[in-house]
Amino acid sequence: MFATILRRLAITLILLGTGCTPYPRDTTDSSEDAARFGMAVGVSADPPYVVVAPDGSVSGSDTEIVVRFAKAHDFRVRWVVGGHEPLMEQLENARLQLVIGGHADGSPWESRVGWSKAAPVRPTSQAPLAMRRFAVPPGENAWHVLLDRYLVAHESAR
Amino acid sequence: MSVQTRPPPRELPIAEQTALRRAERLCAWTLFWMSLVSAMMFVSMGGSQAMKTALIEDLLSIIPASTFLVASWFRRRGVDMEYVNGRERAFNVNFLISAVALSGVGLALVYEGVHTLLSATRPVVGTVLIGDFVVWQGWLMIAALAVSAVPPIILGRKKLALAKALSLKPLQTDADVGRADWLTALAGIVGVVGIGFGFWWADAIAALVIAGSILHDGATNLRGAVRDLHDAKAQALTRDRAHSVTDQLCQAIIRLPWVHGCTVRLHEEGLHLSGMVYLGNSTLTVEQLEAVRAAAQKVSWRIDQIDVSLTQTVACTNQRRTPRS
Repeated sequence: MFATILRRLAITLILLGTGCTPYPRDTTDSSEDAARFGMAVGVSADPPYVVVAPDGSVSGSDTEIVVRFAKAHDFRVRWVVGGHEPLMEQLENARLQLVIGGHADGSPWESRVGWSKAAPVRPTSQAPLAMRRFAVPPGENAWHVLLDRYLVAHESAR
Repeated sequence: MSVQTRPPPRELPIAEQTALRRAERLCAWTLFWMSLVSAMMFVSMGGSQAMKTALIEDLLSIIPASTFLVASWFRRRGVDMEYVNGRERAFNVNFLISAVALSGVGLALVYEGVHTLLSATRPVVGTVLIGDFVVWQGWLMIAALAVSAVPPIILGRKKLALAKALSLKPLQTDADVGRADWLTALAGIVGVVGIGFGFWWADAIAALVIAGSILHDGATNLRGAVRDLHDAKAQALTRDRAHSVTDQLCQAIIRLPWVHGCTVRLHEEGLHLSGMVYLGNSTLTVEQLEAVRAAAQKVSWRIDQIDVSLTQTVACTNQRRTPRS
């Protein structure tokens, strides 16, 4: 058993060392899908951070961050408006690349999906500063790193 | 009514006493390092099942070391009016506790691993901020796992050398647990590297391998503990053959000129071996009884309490067990 473990580890490290593969990678290719088909963003109404108009159009400080991130990487954005629970279920199965709005601290989703670094936003000039984070699919390592690198570098996320 | 207490157990030879003290110090160091390692693992742990399993294994390795320390302290208190037969079995209890803990947690982890695998739960490994740089948390987890493997390797080697040189069986168990520890860390690294490749199942499989090794450790120790508590035949340190002292004792007694034949039945009481010597003689004087005990004590420092009985059905030097009357 020990020899097998060592062998597998050696093969993995050789693959990494030769740099023949980007690392870490996604389980279900979220980064690649975002580049090819646009990113599917789950939107759950959470004013004033996420506002859904009666005609289905979305606005708010969280959506602005998503748009800026998409622009920086040349991704198209496909908004998927819905209830928080069904959106999170879709996210867990990696059918969405992000879910914004409606996240509560201590919800059962905390350990089931990934969470971005929190970005400081002030939705209106009078509103207090709030730390906003987005849900990312579990196991989408490259996608998670890509998002967090953007948020830290351009949105002062911590 | 008066109570007869057993004579205090034989003093360990100086070399063994020193070894026991060293073993205690090694166990104290194990507690210190494994606590530090566990804290480090907890801080760097993401959603990896393999890493969680490795952390539990690290926490578990504290159990044999701490029960060894308690057993060693308890044993030193010796015979009194409550413990009329002494406390030499403290180390056997130490075995049992470690074995039950290991087996229980091994089973729980196997269940969790299988559950993760069947429900296809994908591990969440996020990012960490080091300065202004965002790093995949997997790297941190791999580093923590690699560091966690170092103390068990070093302490385990020292314990194993001590256990072999001085036939300290409890320490051998402790060293085995240490070996499982660093194997666990290795398997954990494989799991996290696998997650990085997008193989969500690699993590659960690595966790299952670890859980299997814990369960194996637990089952082996449990079997040993049950054997020892039943006063089963004394075994060598590695538990793969009978203890050589049994044969040597038989040979030593048969060399006494007045002995017609003998059979020996030895069991383990912690560090010591005690038991019965059956002689083929028809009578036995007090002087002869003392001569048998003196001969027995010369064979090994491990031989402690020897009772002598007479029987007609001894086989001179073989190990055939004399049926109880």
